[in-house]
Amino acid sequence: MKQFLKKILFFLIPVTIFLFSGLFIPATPRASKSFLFADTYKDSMLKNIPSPRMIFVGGSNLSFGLNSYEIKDSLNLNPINTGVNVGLGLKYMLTNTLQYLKKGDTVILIPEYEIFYEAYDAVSDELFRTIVDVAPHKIKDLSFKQEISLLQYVPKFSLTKFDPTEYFRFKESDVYSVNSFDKFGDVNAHWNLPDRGYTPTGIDGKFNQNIIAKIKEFENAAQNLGAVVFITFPSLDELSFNLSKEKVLQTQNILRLNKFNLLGNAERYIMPKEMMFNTKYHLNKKGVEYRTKLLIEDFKKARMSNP
Amino acid sequence: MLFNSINFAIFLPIVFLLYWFVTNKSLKLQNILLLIASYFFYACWDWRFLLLLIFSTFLDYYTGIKMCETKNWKRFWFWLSICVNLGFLGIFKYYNFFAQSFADAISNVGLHVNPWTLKVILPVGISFYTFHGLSYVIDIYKGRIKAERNFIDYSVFVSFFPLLVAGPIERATHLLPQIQKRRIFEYAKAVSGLRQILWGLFKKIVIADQCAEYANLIFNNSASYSGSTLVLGALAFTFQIYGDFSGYSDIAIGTAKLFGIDLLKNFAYPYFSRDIAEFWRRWHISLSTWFRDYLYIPLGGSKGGILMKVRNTFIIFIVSGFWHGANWTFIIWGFLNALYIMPSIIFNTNRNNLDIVAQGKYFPTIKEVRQILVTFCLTIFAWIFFRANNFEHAIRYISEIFSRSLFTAPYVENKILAARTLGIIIVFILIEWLGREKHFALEEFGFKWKWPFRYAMYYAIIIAIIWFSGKEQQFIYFQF
Repeated sequence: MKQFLKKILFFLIPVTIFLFSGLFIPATPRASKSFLFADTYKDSMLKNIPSPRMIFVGGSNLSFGLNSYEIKDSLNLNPINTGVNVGLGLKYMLTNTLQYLKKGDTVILIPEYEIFYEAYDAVSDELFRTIVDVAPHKIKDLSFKQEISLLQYVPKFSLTKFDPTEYFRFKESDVYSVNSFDKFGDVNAHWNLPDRGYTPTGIDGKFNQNIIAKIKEFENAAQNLGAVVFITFPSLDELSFNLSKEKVLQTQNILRLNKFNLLGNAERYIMPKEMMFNTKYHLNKKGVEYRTKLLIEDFKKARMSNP
Repeated sequence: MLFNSINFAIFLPIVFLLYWFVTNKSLKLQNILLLIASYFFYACWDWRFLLLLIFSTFLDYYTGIKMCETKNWKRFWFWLSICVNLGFLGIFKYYNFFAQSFADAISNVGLHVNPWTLKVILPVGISFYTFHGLSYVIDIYKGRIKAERNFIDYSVFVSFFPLLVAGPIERATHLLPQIQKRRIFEYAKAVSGLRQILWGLFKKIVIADQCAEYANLIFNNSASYSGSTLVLGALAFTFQIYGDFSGYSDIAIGTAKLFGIDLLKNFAYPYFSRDIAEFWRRWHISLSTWFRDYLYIPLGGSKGGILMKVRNTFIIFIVSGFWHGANWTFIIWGFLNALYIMPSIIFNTNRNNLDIVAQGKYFPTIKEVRQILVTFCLTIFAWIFFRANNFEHAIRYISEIFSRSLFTAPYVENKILAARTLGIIIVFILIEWLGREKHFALEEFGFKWKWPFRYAMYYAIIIAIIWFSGKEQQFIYFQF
């Protein structure tokens, strides 16, 4: 038995060292061009853009779903689109936004529906890469559970550091690049590209009531800082809506029951297939214009009823 | 808790160390630990169904004892156990199917009813642990074994965590004696277990999960693809299901070896089979033999002449299809396999290929290659029904394959990625071919190499597993 354990240790130690060594190697040239690096720019927007501000918080339904120029013109507010990727999780999004809020800010929270059906502090490969490659100082914003859970991504991440294609002859993504974002944080690189198709999907899991409590906490904290929070619904393609109708409507009902400031309703943001770019949440140019128009209308309506 | 998850990677070493360092002196403690670990493992899926598992275990344990104690009531206790076990399976797995099928059938004669369906989720592993229990009760009834008096031992037999959710389907005659004896650590067995786990993970993560991406994309959007692309989709699913299920079985068997327990073999290189009868002796062996011993033989087996043999063969294949799930596609898949095997049943050639193909040689003969390819193509065709969402989907899929678009170039979105996947599959087939005389391909692969080369091979497999790992993918057979 002891011999068995000794041999296992002898076998595992080199491979463990190798698989953790990647943590100490800086981001590869390919990774440095990744859309995740937009997080740094988005933080500087939150820090530097003057009031009156309208801050959009959510995942890629925002980065691939807004025309902030239109919002600025119509509402006379300075838009900041903080959306990068849903994988960063709600905890990361809310904690990060909260530290930059100022008096008079309007926060529009638009989480993807999946967020309501997973843990508040869920982790993903995108979160891991953001913490290790993009913003190591943000590790303090994570919970202990998140830190431990993120360890699962270490081996695969480390291997990429030894992949030659990460350094040589790589091609920067035409839409998922740090350079795909405009000055407000919207992705517009795909506006002139043909749609890429996608597979409609439903939503798995059980509604997580804790998410509601955490959004309430965020809302209260924002109010204490003098900001106001609205929640609205992501643009979702109609086929995926059909697959997840029950859960979408459940989410809407629970948000209503908890008396959040809601803009519009979920059905209003269901998009036809021809407005989608490459996932159930990503809009093409036509979709972006339409969604932005709906959002402006809903916000104006809310402002009129509660000036 | 999936075998390919970080949770299992933490759970397994903890249980292993406790087992060999804390409880190794006492059989009772070893079994108590295995039972606690197994119930914890199961509760990680859904703790509510743990109660169902415990109830089902207790029922079979109790009825087993009662059958041995009372001659007059033996039949009563036997049928009670059979009915309750099959009743649970029927409610959780088949009720909605029958209700819906009944409603569909009477709607054909103009009557419309809204079937009362149950909103229940299928308890994971129910088909497997129910079959464990059934075989135990039937064996006692037939007088093949005596009832187990120790509830802990019996519970470990039913719930031993490596086999709890997707088999291999064990027999009391094989597993219970091992549970009744204190296990002593065997170095060679533990090393073999680790190699089998490694190979199982390779099959699951590198082969099955990669193929799943293509198979899912093509099957989910089959209307948009040409016949040639649909053939690729079916081929991808063929490797997906093999890598997935045999990979799971390897991990289960390897894990059990770490605890000093041998489980039944479940796969024996089925895609190298020379005819369908051989395929079914090599695919999901624990289920095939279960149906043979507890259904085919009691029905009369092959004793009552050719008609009886044909009837019984159709029955076991259709029941086997239905066992996989409450969907007509599985039934048709079973029926199709019964049709495939029919010529060999009628002409009595079903036991022609009992040996290992090209045994002791590197290359098969041309005749064997032809036989393997024909069997493989038949299998791919049947898998289309297994994978399709419904019967209409399967028919549309097959119709498109047999259209002119079969002769167009298949659509491959990322050619480099596809070439890489193809390369991996070829390497995989080669390793499986070289290891086909062993219990699993890696059993003795590289055994005679110097340790640096052997270690390099293991490291390469580990790196491939990590490289291809992504989101934890569910095993296909967990849904059954």
